[in-house]
Amino acid sequence: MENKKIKKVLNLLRSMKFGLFLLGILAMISLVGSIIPQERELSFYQNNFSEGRLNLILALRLNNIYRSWYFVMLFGFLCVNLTLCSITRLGNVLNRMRTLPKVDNTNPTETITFKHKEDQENYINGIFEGNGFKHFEMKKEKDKILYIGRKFRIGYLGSWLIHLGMLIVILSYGYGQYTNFSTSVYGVPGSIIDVEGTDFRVAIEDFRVDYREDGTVNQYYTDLKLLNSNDEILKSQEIFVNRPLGYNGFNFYQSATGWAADLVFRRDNEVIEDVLYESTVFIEENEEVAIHFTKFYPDFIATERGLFTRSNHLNNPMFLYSLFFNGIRVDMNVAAPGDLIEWNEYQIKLDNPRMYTYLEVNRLKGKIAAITGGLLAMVGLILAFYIKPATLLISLEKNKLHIYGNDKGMINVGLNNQNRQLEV
Amino acid sequence: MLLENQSFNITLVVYTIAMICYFVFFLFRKEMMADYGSLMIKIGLVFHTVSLTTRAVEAARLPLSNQYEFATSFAWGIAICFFEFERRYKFKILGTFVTPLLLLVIFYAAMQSREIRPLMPALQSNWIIIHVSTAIFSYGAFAIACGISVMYLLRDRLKTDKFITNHIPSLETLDLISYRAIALGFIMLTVVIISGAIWADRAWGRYWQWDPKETWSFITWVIYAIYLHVRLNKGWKDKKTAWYAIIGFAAVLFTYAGVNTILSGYHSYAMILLNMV
Ligand code: HEM
Repeated sequence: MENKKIKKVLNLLRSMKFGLFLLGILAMISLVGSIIPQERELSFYQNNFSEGRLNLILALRLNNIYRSWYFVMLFGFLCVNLTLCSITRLGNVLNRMRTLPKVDNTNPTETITFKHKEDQENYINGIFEGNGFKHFEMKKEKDKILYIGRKFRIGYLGSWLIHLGMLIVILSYGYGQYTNFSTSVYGVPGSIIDVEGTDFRVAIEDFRVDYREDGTVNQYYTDLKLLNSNDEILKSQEIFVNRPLGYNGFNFYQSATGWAADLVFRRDNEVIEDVLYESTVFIEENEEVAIHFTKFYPDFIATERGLFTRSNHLNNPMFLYSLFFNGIRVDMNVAAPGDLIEWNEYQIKLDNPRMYTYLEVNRLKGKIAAITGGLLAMVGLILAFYIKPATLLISLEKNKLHIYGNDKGMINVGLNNQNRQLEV
Repeated sequence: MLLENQSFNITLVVYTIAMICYFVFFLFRKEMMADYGSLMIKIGLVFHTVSLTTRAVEAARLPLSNQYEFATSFAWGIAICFFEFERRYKFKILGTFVTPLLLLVIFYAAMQSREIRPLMPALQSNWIIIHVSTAIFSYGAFAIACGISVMYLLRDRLKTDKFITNHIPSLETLDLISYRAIALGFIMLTVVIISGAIWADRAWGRYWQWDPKETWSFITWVIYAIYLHVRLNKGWKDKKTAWYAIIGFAAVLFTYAGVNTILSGYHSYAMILLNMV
């Protein structure tokens, strides 16, 4: 009784129906996820959706649907399904590669006469050759000889490989997501920075932006040295978009850029120097004064419509900043590099504007496995759709000749269950 | 630039004439018109190829990088697939059902900006060439399958119409051609997805992020995977499969154009719609 139930469940789990059902549901969930923007801040959903929708979205995690437990679980079931069905089908596939067409001996329909015994052999050779079989084997049985030709047997493996490949892709993707590590580093040329969460440090040797004549960006280049915790060089490379630096599974990607400036902060005799990045804030120790580097204009121009930059070149550089005192904005203005910004006993200077590079760092495991799975599936697809296996079997029983082809093969061979009488 | 524009415009006109020929052939049952239609497609293909080639030379890269370039290349892919399937299966009426799709895509192209813009850094990759060129043939093959499926439904409906039965092959043949086209499209789509993933990995370090474009290519891919299975298993070789292939192509079009227009942006139409229902 119990056994029967287990068998029933197992049969369901490995059935194609179940697999297709899962795929369909996954597609539908993905569709919902493509409509509702994913992984935004809560306020985004609050602003864009009515109360009822919002509650529904949060309850069903529609805002992070691809990481929701049910989405992952469905993929899990798909893996179980693919695994079970691949295991059970492997036997069938191998069998189909091995088995020969059923021989049924009906009476000959035509008679062919030969002068010599060799002619008969030539005749059989000819049938194989004529149907595109270069080789065939001969098997002697009790009272008959079997001639067996087989072509493209590998084609049988096609659909099996597709499913194995897909299984590998899904598993490696899941593994990659599960063990995913990512962070970022940024800095101006000449700086050495710790990579958070790793033992690496990076030295940013240089950073260049290659502009085209029309002012658009052609490419960003960072000369990067990867160091270990003892500052020994592990790898050194020029990276740009589409050419990351890879080391031990970690990859460093050229991702973004922006402006930075040297900050000199002076109060009485106390001097603090730092690098300040565009749209970040420097807050002094006592939290009395803060300066926000709002925006940088390399080629500044003020018009009635606002502040602009005419180009990317440092023709008339200008910093837009805001100054805060005890949390209240007390000044907002533009300053040229080196201009003194003063408030009470504080003196602040922004200078030496230059671009910094922003690198994404991540380690995504299982990439090689995923691509292997993808390629397996590709090979499988080609085999399944374009390599049609064919078998040609000729049995010679005394002087009766029977020709058989297997089901799929006969499409190629065009001779099925023909029986010919051979006479010498 | 002039050559490119002129030949593109001529292509547009010639394809339109081809469609009209095929329609006249179909509605007024004038045999000759189908031959003219077929000829027009071939002439159109020549101009189309000239237009694409000059653009490629002008831009010093393959014309596969923005909506205009991809749309015109996509239309070219449909025309090439059509040319091949018509040559191979030799039936005149195919044009009546495929030329509307061809026109749909090429007029979409005509509405896009034709300015040659330099590539943003992320698009400067060889993977994108494989990615987009296979997409053209994948989408082209699915378009053919869609056209064939419409024929299937028509043939099924007008069983007794002499003209239809003369010109539209048997339901079995239609189903087989549609299946072959989908098989080809499916293989190509798989290459599209794999090469896209490799490219994304090189550029951003993540090969799959479920962004709307990726998600829709997944949905399309699943739709056709289900098609292949039910056809195989249930022996679904009837009207249902034909409808299914048509819906599949709608998903293709959505993946290509809908994602960029309807799903993109903060206040996408889709979200507005979602708030209304
Ligand atoms: C994950 C995505 C999947 C893809 C891309 C895929 C793809 C394919 C393809 C292309 C074929 C060959 C169709 C043909 O020859 O016309 C096939 C056959 C088949 N698939 Fe899938 N499949 C998937 C999932 C599944 C699942 C979940 C099952 C359920 C167990 C399944 C069961 C089968 C079976 C039983 C066949 C017939 C095999 C044969 O006749 O040799 N597939 N699949």
